[in-house]
Amino acid sequence: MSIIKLRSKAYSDVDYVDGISKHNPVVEYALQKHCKQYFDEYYRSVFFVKDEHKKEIFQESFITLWEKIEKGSIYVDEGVLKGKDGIPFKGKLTTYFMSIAKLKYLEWVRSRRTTQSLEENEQSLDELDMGAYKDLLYDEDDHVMLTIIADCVGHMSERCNQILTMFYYEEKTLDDIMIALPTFESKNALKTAKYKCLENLRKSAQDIYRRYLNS
Amino acid sequence: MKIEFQDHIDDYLLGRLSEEDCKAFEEQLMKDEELFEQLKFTRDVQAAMKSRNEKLVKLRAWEKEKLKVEVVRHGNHRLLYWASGIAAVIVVGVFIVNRFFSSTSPLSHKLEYVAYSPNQRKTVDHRPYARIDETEKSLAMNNIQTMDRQILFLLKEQEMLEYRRRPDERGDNDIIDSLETIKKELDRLYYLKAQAYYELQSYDEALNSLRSICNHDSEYGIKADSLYRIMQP
Repeated sequence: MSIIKLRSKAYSDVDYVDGISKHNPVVEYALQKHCKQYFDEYYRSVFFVKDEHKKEIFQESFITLWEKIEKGSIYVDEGVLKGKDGIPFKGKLTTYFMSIAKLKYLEWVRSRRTTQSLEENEQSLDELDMGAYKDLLYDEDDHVMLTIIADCVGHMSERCNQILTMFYYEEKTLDDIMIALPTFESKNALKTAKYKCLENLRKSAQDIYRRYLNS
Repeated sequence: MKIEFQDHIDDYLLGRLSEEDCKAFEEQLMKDEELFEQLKFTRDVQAAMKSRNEKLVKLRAWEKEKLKVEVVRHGNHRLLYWASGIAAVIVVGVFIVNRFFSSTSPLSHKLEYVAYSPNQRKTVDHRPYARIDETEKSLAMNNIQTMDRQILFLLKEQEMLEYRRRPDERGDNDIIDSLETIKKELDRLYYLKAQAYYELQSYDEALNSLRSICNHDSEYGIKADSLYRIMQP
């Protein structure tokens, strides 16, 4: 197990997972720092990306790891770190994190297809073992749809992200959102836009579910 | 998904329904599978949005904190550079001032170079830097006279002891010790006399005093030798 020192306190992978599952803010920060250091050091050996996009990929990858621990997909059982089907972890948590980062990078490439690298990227995605998605991102458990939706939320348009964040996270009313987003001329227009965002999200989630879990 | 369901679903999930409406909606949920599926999906979206945004808020706060620390560190470095620069200027300034302008006593300027190497001594400037008034001059002259009397007394003592030692050319240890003490005291007095002459800007007399002891292998003899080398034209 990897151990780092933070403010004279050492954390093992078991400590990280245990702390995160208990929503310990000190451990949350420590894990983020640990993963960031590892990511900055090794991401070039996994993929190439500009600095401005590197941050985005790290953020998405870390949120996924964080949520997986919170949902219990990775957990500690009698001092042993376990993952899918209760199988003990063979590698380090950072290695697992980098595997997530690689998938997030490929998703990012797919969502930003450029004419120049389209064929190359498609090839990369085709070559990717689809089982990796099952194992790392969408392992079959009680929270599978929630996991897929959480992933899709990260790829939503900026507009949809704004509307749904205000409505479901900040719990603002439609009237309040209209004040914050004055481009909507009527309440009905906003309501329709919100519904379309949800509908697109549902379609994307179902598409992923079909592609990676029922393939 | 049906758009007409969504308002009720949202109100139910966000706790905006009255108790009565809530019960009615739950009854409807039991009967309508499509409505139930849409509720499940919306609940997942709500949970995903909350989880993601809570984490984003924390990540941004950590990023901000990191930037703050970096700014403070950077600021500390800048402060350190400034402090180092100011300290360096002060040290150089003090050195220059001491080297060229300071010293209330002209001799103190010279004495600083007593223990320096011969090469450094050559660089010393001999110009007097301070004027002395009549009172200081009078005091210095009195000191010289007092020292002269002491020197004369010690020279007589020395002569007498030397005479007593002469018959067997060995003498006892007490006489030898006394002669050694007198020699040291004479060296000290000649050296102080040289200083007093220097303060009076009587350099020739100062040189004469130093010359009489500069070849002695004693503490004041060595000092006198250094000063003599600095002062001699």
